[in-house]
Amino acid sequence: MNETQIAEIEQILGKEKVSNSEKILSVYSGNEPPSLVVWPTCTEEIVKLVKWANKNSLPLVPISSSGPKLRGSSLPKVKNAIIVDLNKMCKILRIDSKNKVAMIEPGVTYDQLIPDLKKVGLRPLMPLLPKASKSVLASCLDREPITTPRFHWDTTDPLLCTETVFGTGDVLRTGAAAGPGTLEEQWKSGQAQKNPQGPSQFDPFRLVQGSQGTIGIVTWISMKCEKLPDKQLFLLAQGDDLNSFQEFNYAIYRRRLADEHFMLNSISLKGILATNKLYSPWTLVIGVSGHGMLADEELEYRVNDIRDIGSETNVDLQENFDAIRSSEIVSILNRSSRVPYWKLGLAGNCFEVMFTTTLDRVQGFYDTFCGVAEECDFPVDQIGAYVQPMNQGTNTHVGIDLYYHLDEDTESAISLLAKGQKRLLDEGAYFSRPYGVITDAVFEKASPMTVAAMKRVKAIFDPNNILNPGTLCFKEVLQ
Amino acid sequence: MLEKDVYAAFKKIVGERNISQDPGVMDSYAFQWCNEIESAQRGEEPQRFGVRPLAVVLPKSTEEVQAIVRLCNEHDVSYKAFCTGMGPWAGLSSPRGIQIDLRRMNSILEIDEKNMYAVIEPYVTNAQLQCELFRHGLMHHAQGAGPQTSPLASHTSFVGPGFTSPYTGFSGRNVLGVEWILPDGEILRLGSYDHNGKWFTGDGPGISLRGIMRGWLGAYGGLGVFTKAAIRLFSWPAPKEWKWKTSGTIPEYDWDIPPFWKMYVLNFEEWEEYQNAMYELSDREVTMVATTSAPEGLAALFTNTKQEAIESIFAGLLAKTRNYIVMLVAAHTEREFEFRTKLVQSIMEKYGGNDLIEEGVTVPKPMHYGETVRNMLGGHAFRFSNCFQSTHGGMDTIAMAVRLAQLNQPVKQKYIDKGVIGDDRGLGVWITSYESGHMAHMETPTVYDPTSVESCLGYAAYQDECNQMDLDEALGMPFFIVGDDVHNFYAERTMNYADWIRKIKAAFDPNGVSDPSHYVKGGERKK
Repeated sequence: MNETQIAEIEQILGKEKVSNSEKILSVYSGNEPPSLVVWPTCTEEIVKLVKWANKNSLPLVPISSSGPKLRGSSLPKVKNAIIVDLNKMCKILRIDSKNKVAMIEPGVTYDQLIPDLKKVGLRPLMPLLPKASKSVLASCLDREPITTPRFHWDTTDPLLCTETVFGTGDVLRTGAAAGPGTLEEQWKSGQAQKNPQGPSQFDPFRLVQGSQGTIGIVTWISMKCEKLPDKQLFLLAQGDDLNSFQEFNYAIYRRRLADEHFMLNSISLKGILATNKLYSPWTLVIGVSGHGMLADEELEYRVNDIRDIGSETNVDLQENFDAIRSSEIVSILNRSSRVPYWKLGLAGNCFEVMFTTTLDRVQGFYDTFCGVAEECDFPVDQIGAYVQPMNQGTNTHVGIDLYYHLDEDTESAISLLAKGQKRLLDEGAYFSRPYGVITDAVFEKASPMTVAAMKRVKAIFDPNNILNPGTLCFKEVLQ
Repeated sequence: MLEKDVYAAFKKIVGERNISQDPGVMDSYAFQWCNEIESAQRGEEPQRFGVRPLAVVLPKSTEEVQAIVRLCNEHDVSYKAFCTGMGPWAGLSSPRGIQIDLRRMNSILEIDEKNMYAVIEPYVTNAQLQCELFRHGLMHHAQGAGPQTSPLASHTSFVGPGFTSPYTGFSGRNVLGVEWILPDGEILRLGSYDHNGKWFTGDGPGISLRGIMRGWLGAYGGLGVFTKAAIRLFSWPAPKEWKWKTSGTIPEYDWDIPPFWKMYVLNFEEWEEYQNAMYELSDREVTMVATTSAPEGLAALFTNTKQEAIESIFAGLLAKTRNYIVMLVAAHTEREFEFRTKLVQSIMEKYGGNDLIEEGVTVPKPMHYGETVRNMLGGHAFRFSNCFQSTHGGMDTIAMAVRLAQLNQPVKQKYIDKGVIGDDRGLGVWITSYESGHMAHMETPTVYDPTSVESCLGYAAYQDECNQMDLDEALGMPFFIVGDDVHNFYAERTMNYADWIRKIKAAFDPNGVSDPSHYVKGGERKK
């Protein structure tokens, strides 16, 4: 970037919100180092910046969370990128307890949001132990799975409405927030930006979500929350194989009796609890709650119905086992990870693999991946797994972590990351959120029409390919 | 008439028995409910007939639909797909257009019992799907339009409230994988189906192309043709041994109510108590149904004939009914049933309500339980006249739905006083919550006389005034804000959203042949 261009950006944002210091730039460096970092503080500044970037044909890479960066989606893939760090936009704009919704800016973290929600009897719908610096907004935009599938009605949950600056520099409030009326007028009429659909005959929030910053820069979102439980009980089960829980899980999905519902393999459990204990190969976690009036009775009926299903399906549900107590599980829920991020605790480094499938296929995919690990000489006891039902059980997120030591296992980890994901893809794992080395193979497997349709969409909302170029299938844009 | 060679080319695709240009057949497609309202709103004389298609084709497969769409592009012929369609949006706007009637594509392709989804073709009806699903202990979200209508149409292309919405949500949010013939004839398969032939999600990789598919309202058939869709399923709350059994004859047939079901009509003197109760009942997930109408509506819901409904009114129903919620506790186990019924009783007492069923003000018969879950109650509203349509429709919170109902009353009363719409004292509304109370919508079903020019014009004026009120009072976007002119009117105060939809239309329908009448035309907005 030349001096004139930097001066123009400083003119838009103010000098204090712009830096090209090498030390700072190195924090954001990806395939290519960025040329500038900016910290806008309001929507108007972002609009001006996007319009300026279009005029000057310079790429913008929006970022909301700080490191460690395990996926690299928000690290620049092309030269001369300007990092748009939204960290300073960190206000909780509104919490509405009656309508169970919060409105937040990009820099808000879970540890910032949770206490404020708690004050009014709410909790966020959130992923399992995210990194401390994880932006809540980014998590929602990434379609990060939540631990409570009962409350996960559509893939997009808990994301509701957004304010988005598209790649053209135009601003649109998506969903019911679009109007009619300003936000203040909508609040006065009893609205709370709860309907994410629309406006009208398209769903722009579905285009922004999952786009890894390639369609628009989101300046706030509204997100679904749930009431804090007044009574709560956790049940655990242990198994050698995920299939031993399968009949139970499918029965529980139907009944919507549990809040938290997920499975961890022994390695992930060790990592997440930061212990060296020996656990059963798989642990099933079921959280049950009672609320408000008759909270005790609600908890009792839910727990007893769950126990009945456990008996019918031969799943031994206990609050505590010798190796693991439910209080330990409670301690890792509804909060962020301590620093350093728990995924780095086991071996210092981690690669993430994630895909979507149905529950009945998870064990098969897991076995496949472990088989490839053996081929790659990667230690199977450094493979963590997290299985998270989504969409009230219609599909399942599978997160596989490769915990590796620098130098010692780096080569085999890199090899497994490539080969393992490719094998999973070939066997039918669906990489709905493709990151890193698997991305190109995912879009090669997609039909040409899918890619063409995505590019047509990109050409509408970011016609000059200003936003995070080189990401997903957006190597270039249709004109 | 279509040119002979063009007609012959369509005939070659579907076969002689599956194409027609008979004027009588064409008229049957042009004659649509509510055309009289839309023509009145355009300033024309109200009439039921819309634009007659030049031909109707009945394809049997995705390949045939694709070939038809390609031919339309080649010969500049507009098309509109038609399932069980009822309303002007099912018909054409261009005089050079054909109707693609999908009634031969009526198979349930897959029911994945474990993962709770079904894959259906366009002409599968709610009744047909429900029958199959009950065998698996499952149900789907059936739209309020009734058992004879297409769930694929609702899930892919239209607004989708239903009587079971607190438990089964909204059609547009329950879509998974989709097979879609784009306006230019290309086939797009959404989500996992494109990658591995499984239908369990319609999103990704990366962005979700569901974002251009339908939005909240649906594209009303203005952006191609949907040939297959996977939709989410839900547990049918009845013990495994329960079987669907009916006896008797319509309208007095009997139905075996599942063992842990109980209907309530909780009545609250004031809107405030009603609102608090609606929030709590929905949030606590005790009810499969949470629906509100006018007292006059209640008379129609749980009776079988117009005479019975009128008799219930004369028996004092109106005087004893204020703001009520029809609720259905439908539990899987006795334990769940006992908890839920106890909680309902507690919430009713907390907000000073009374149960109109317990007090004998209204008496649902067993068949009404069945009709509730089959979404037949909406049809009861036709008993007082042969026609109704809804105004408003904004969807966000329960609080907004209540405010809409309150503000609507004096507006509606004005048109009642003019004698142009049915008299429900302005109280006629339909409110339902969604997804355990996370959202709600309010619309105002309104009875009018489609054979009276004065009544059609009066209803049209009432709807226009409702639309204006929603704009001025920030009460969300009504259902029927579709089509270029109406979008222009609304979008100016709604961040010009329609400009984006026009760009989508232009990008995916370069020849503009997918009929845009209830969607948008592509390209730049006319100033």
